Amino acid sequence: MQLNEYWNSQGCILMNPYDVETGAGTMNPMTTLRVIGPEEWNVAYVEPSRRPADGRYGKNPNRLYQHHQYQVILKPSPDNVEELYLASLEAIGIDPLKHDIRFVEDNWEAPTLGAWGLGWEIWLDGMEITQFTYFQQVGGVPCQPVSAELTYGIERIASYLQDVDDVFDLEYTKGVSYASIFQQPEFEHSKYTFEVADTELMFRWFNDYEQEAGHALAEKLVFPAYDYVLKCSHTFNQLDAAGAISVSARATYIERVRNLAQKIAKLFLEERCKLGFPLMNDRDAARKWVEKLTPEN
Amino acid sequence: MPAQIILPAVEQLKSLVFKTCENNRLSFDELNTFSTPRRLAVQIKGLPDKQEDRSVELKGPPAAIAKDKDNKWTKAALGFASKNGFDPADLQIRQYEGKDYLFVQRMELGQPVPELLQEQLEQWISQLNFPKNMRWASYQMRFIRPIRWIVSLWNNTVVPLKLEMTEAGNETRGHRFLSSGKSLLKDAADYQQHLEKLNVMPDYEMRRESITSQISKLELEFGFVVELDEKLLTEVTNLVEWPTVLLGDFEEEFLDLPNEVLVTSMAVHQRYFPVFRKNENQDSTSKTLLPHFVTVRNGNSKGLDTVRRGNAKVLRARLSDARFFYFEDQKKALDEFLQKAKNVVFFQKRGSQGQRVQRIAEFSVIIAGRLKFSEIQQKNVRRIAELSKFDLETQLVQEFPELQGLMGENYAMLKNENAVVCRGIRQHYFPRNAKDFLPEDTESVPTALADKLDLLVTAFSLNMIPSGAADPYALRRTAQGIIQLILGLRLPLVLRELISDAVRLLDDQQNLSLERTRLQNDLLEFLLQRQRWFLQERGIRYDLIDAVLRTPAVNLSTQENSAIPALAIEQLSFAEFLGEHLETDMFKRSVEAIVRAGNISAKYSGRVAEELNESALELTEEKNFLVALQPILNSDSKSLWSPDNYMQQLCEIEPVVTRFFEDVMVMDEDPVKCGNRLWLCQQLAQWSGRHLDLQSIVFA
Repeated sequence: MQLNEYWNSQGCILMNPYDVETGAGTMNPMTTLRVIGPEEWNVAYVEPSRRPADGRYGKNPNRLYQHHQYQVILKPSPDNVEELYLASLEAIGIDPLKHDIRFVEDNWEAPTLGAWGLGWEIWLDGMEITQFTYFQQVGGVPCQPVSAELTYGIERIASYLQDVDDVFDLEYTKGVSYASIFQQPEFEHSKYTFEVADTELMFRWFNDYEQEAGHALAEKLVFPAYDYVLKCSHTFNQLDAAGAISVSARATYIERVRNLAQKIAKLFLEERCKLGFPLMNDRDAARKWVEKLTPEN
Repeated sequence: MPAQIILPAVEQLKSLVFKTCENNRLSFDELNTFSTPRRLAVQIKGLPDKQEDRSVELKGPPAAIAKDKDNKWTKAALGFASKNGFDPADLQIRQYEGKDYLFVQRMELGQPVPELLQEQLEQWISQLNFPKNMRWASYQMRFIRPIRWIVSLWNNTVVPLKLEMTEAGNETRGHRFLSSGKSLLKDAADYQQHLEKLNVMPDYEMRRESITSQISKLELEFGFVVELDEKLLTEVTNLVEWPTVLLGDFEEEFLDLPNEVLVTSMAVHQRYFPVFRKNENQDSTSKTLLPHFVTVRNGNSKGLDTVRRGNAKVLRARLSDARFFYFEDQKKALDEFLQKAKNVVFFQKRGSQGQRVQRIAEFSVIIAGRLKFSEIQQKNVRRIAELSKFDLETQLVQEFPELQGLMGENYAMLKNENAVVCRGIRQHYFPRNAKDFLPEDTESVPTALADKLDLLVTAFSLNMIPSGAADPYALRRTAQGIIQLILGLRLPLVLRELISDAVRLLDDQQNLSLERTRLQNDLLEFLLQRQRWFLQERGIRYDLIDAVLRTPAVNLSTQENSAIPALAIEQLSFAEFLGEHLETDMFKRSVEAIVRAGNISAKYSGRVAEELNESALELTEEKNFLVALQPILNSDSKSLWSPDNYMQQLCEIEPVVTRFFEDVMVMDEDPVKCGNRLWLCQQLAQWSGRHLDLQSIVFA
């Protein structure tokens, strides 16, 4: 809530989580697609993120099948972005004078998205609480301008603020514990992923989703195509966690998802260009971009 | 900036600034550098205000074309003057290297230093090289991380510089939290003191010293020893601007984890320094970990308790994870991990990890046989190989990949495997880099070789051959490891045989129908490059390396089985031997004679006698030559002599051959005589050529 207030006051649009399974806030099209192209874009949202391989049957104090990220995108990255971030910590009650806050190099790469960036892990008293990335490339398209991405690990920060060692001991809201909400789904999702899931069916889904993504792409429909890429990605993660994909086959699946992501990124840029980059405030600059990107006939 | 790049970056900056001063003939008293995660700085003291004036002389065309018949300046002369901005009146004619030339001379006024430096400022920034640059916001510039501000002062005056994202000024910033906002730096000379007031220690050495002295204090107070890994200390020093050291604790129950797990969690994951009991017994090498850690905070001592608790909590979470895995792993039999490996793909179309281990085991035993190991040793070798990779399937190693081998040893000990086998599981990874240990136990060596060769062969069979900088599977380092093992331990193994075994094992097991000859030659070539590297690292001269590596025995691919292949260790001892004897007169003369013998018999190869016609030898020199050659002719035509024997033989042959060339006309008109003499030369050259390619040697 406080983060919402803070980032809203910094001019961010507040969004909701996406309605297709994602592995991270970055996968939400409000990040993946919107960081491509010249349009300004400032957004903040919570993203429940599914990581099948991290499922621990609700028994590990730190690892979850599904955790929550607070995601902020600032495009272009403001010159005082570090200060803005540090002020956001103060807004949620973390006084930097009473803690040790360090920026430790951590470069980010998402092979399934053909994306990479440079940046930091931010350590609060030795604990990584935020991933801070300057996006350099997404879907194989160079980011111009560059966005800053801030991804807060909500459970980690909460366990720090509430001073508990086990994420399940968190108080979600007055009188309701994290365990009472999430322990059962954590257990069931883990059991499902590792013991029950019909992997043969999932391999078929992967192929179907991939095909349908291609179908939507052929019709130049960026967002529907991207939804199927998310489905591919989640299915792949399920299969991978179930141990159904060998090391080298892994590379092939990642490449298949990346191929789609790259086509979608390119198409997104083209479609925004056709619309004249409506989110750009500087209309002259928008026209120049359109000119620059429109192939001469 | 990332901690690792800070020192290299400030070194680069220093040398750029130094070069500017040198190129512009600027003298100075001091050149100080400063660096923190948020700034790189250079401070030059004692610069002059102005560059010194100097007289510059320019040489023009020859005097011959400078004046015409009427003794007037020609067009060429006038052109030379005007091009360089001179009056014709300034032209002079002077001698230069015995000929007359046109000359002009002028005083060049020195530039004011701030102006001169201003021209260089931008380059000092743009010429810094980083491993990975980035762009930010809408700017075009690329740099290691965003540039936020630039301070550029000549004493108390700003030396202007405008970049797209900021303009140089005299506003700096202090510590992120301990000071606020911008702060004016009045004079360049005050840089360090000014920043220290803003809670930033800009001097790297000083920060480092501050950390180590705070740690020494703790050691003194608590009577323990803090292990200061050099790399970690450098990194930590470059993560903070104002270091405050703090001591934290973890629960004693975690001490039942292996030391390496604890140290990895602390040092690698958390950048903490581990704490050991002070070793009273000087001889004992075993170290006892204590349940504490030392970490460095970027700030002062305010709220230090909160920071301590936070850090302890993170470590506790990590160690709980590790402990859980450690005890879970122990519940399983080693065999269960081996079974699991059968379902893990090694490389696509190259079978499972389990099959790979089978190959390594079979290969290890073959190598052990070649090294003439006893039956008991061979049994242990097989067991080492079988267990070499099981720990990759344990949860702990999957969580801490850097502990592969170590955990294998640990778990195998717990299952009461033979001690030498347990150690072998760890040691078979050695050497992991150019400076790493070699295995201590002989029994670990075959698997160390087999593991690396199998990886190389598998990768090459999939055409994954390193090119340029790309070497994702670290194949060069792997090949290097093979050479380090063979040469470092002086193993009498033939590279070519090892390669062909490894290829055969893979091919047969996976039914691949590989193109074996091509594959083997590629691999041999690859390993020979590493052998060359090894010899270079030993400080052996390039020409001597060529001399030992360019023998026909090495290039077996072209001369099928014409000779018994030279062992890599023999080549090493020849190279070392050459280094010692190279400059002796006797050796120089032998080389001269043998090279001559080789050249002449090669040049007239058609006229060399097929067999020696001994009865046609009439000159004493010829007969002596043959006598001297006898030991060579009697020796196995494929084998090598040791460097000592080779040298001894040279000593005996050299005077005879030298005489032979002085007194005998090799190319006699009589084809029989000529053929005989060429035959003698050829025998000598071929024998020597088996050992060394003498033509490669360059004498001083």
